[in-house]
Amino acid sequence: MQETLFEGPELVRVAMAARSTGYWAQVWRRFRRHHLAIASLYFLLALIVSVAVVPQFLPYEYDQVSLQERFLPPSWRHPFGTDELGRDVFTRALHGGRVSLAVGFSVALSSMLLGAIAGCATGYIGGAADNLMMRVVDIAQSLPRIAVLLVLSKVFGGGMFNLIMVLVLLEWTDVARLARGVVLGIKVQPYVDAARAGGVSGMRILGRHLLPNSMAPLIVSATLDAGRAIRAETTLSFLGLGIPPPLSSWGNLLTNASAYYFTAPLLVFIPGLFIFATLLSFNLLGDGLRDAMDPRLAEGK
Amino acid sequence: MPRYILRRFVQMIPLLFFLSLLLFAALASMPGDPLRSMLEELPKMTPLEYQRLRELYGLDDPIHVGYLKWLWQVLSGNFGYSKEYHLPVWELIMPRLWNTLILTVSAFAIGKALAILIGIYSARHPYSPLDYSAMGLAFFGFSVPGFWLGLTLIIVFSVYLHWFPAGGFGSPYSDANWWEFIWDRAQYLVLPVVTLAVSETASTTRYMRSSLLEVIRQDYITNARSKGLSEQTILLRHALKNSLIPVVTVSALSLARLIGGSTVIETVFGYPGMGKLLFDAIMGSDYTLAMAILMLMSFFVIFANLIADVLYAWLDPRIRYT
Amino acid sequence: MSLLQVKNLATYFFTPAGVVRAVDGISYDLEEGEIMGLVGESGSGKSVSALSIMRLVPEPPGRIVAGEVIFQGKDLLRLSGEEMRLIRGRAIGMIFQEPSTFLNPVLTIGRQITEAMELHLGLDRKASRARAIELLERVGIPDGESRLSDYPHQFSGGQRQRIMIAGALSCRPKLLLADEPTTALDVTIQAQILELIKDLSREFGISVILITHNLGIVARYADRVNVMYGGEIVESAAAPEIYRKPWHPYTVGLLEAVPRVDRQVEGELRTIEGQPADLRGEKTGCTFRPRCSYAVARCAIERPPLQEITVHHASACWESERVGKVVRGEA
Repeated sequence: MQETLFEGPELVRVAMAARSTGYWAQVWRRFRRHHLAIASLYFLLALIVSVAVVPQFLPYEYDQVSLQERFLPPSWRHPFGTDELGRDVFTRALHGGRVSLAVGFSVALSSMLLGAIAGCATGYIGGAADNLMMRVVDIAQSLPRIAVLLVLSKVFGGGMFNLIMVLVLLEWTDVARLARGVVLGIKVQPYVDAARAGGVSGMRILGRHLLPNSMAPLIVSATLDAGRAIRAETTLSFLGLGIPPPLSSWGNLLTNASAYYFTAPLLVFIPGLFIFATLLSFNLLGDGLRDAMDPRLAEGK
Repeated sequence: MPRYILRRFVQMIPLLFFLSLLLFAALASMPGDPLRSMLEELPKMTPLEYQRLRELYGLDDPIHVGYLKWLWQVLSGNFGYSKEYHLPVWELIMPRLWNTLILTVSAFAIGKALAILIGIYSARHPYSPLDYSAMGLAFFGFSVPGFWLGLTLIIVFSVYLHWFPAGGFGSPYSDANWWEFIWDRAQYLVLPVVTLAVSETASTTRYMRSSLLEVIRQDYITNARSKGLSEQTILLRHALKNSLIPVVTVSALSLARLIGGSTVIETVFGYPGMGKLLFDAIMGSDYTLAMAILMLMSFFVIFANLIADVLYAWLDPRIRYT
Repeated sequence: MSLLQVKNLATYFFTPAGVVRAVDGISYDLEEGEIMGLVGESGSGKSVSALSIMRLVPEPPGRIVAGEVIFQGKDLLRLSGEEMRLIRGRAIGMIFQEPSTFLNPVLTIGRQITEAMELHLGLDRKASRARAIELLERVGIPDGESRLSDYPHQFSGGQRQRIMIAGALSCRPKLLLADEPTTALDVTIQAQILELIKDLSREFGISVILITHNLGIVARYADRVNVMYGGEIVESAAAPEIYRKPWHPYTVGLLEAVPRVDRQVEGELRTIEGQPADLRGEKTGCTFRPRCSYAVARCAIERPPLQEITVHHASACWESERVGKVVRGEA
């Protein structure tokens, strides 16, 4: 599902554009024209607020069992009906959203940070460090990701922290490769030589020139990563390896629901629809950001 | 060209080496004694025999010796013993490997062919209603989580419409002929293949479209037009090869994701392939089996990368001569 | 009758930022076997005018909005798409500025040279290959037989341009459009390529429109010169005339800006003040007026037409006579 992001010379162009003043203002202006991306942004914000705040006001607990009220269809009291143990699906969906979204953002941010630093550093230093990084990236790319995720999840056990750790472990290499690409392109630019000649230390060059320049592609990458992380988390949870019950994520809401797909298909649709809508939003947002940041589409050429 | 293939092949070897090292290290740090199930099978094994087995598998040796012994075993086809199934790992994998290959290769071939055709059409008629629908569908396609799509398809097409079976592999038969056999198997393949293929097909379609749009803008296309060539000739002779190059390079990654994805899809559909076996092995803490499957999958991925590289060189002559 | 008669050709680009009048009413005649130099700076519309003749202007956002392009008696702008396709590559050939991007990297040069012949002349593979080898020989690439199966990246820049020439001339067109064919090449190679074009023109009677921003090229290799500015032709004369007796302020400015090797450079180098014309927006009066040191009141109101000053020498300036005299006085 990963869309290839900027590559090669395109990557450098995007990163270099970030240096010119007014770039971010232009990006914002271009982004505003992407109606779908804006809509996605609003949806995600609304979703975040909802899952954070709304459950406080709901009359039900997410694990509130009521065996008299199993498999109820949607009604005013239960907007999405009840599940196989009489729990309110709406409440559980929102709670599940908390977990899934939290995992998504954590993974995206962590792998962006880790990958950016690793990629920039090794790209800049070059030599043996860079070679090692490339080997690591190659190996990571040769592994079938979901399969490895499954194994690692089992080994390290469930729980949110372990899950985030495992997901980051497999994501950061992609980010590192991206960051390294930017750095390699910029490293050969004259102003870097000038800085070095002026006695600026490597760390400062890294911090002042390289990291900020790679911001643009990394932001796009992080957005898409969040979506991918949620996708992976829900898949793992569905299979029983991610978030353990009774804590709910959209994934494990579906685990039991799949057994009842004949009697109560809504139980399968609702959490899945949440996942789908969220992934769609992240993808649209990422797409819109990518278009907005590509200086080739600059106005007044 | 043959030199190029050889070179890429040689470059593959260190990668395989590191990968096996990694997997061995992972295996060695897994909890549990791999020989335990064998012990259960043969309670009459003497401590001496047990000790000899341990030596054979290098379980008591320092790690580097252990690795070499393990590697030797693997290269001679002995992947160890599954503790869940009480069978040698290779015997377990073999029949299922074939099933997974059928599933994955079908999804790959059909998916890519469709993606390329739709992508070309979209690029030729950009911003038309068909283009927008195709791109919209593509967006949906790679945003939908695979396992949920599988479940949904089962509900719709199997439970409600009764068009396809809900899972499994094939109906038992006594003396059905060739054609009936294929037809029957195909029934069981449709939903899993579709589910598996959707995500990759969707993203490839978008990629093909943007690649071709990019190529059509190139200068050499203007030159071709200035010679009076028809649009069709320009598309087929000048544009296509160039636009396929990035698509081919991405396809290798695509295949990797398909192989990994088959794990989930096979589990959802109860399809008896390598992926489902992996899942069962993981759930049963049978790490010997799990690692063997993982290694096999990785090998396929690396091999697919090699093929993609070769294809890339075939398409782009500039690569061949550097 | 002339081989090519361009009458009031106008090509506009309709962009979100406004209408760009890339070519705004140009007219000229081209005789058989004549080499015409089309000189102008970037953005003067010279390339677009050539693309317009071939009808290769990208349709959105561009469009040929007015004029006639009469080639061998037929107005090319009135032909159908199919009919135009038969002309391209067959009766009119075109070569471009950047040989590395204008040759397809994944096709052999053999294929790229023979395809026009196979299409237009109906030659089979063997015949067209034989012809291609001859062409390669003629443009200065020996050992054609084995090089036909090579790819563009295996050749040098100069060789690639020769290959492009071979491809464009494969069907013996009557007209060759050369859009800055040497701009991307080394100086030493430039001369070779231009000599080649001139030779081929003389040998096969091919008319050439040689587009360039380099006055030096035009002096040596062209028979006639049209100077373009802001989408219009501002001066038109035989090549030697342009240099010895220019009438238009822009031409004068261009000539004066070239440092002379045979004289002392006194003071600063001469430039033409101001920026190139903004081709958007309405035009009142003469396009060159903002940068012209000879401008009078009339120049701001009426756009000067291209009119003959002396025999076969036209200029689009109200003050042509005065300009000419001033320049002669100085020279």
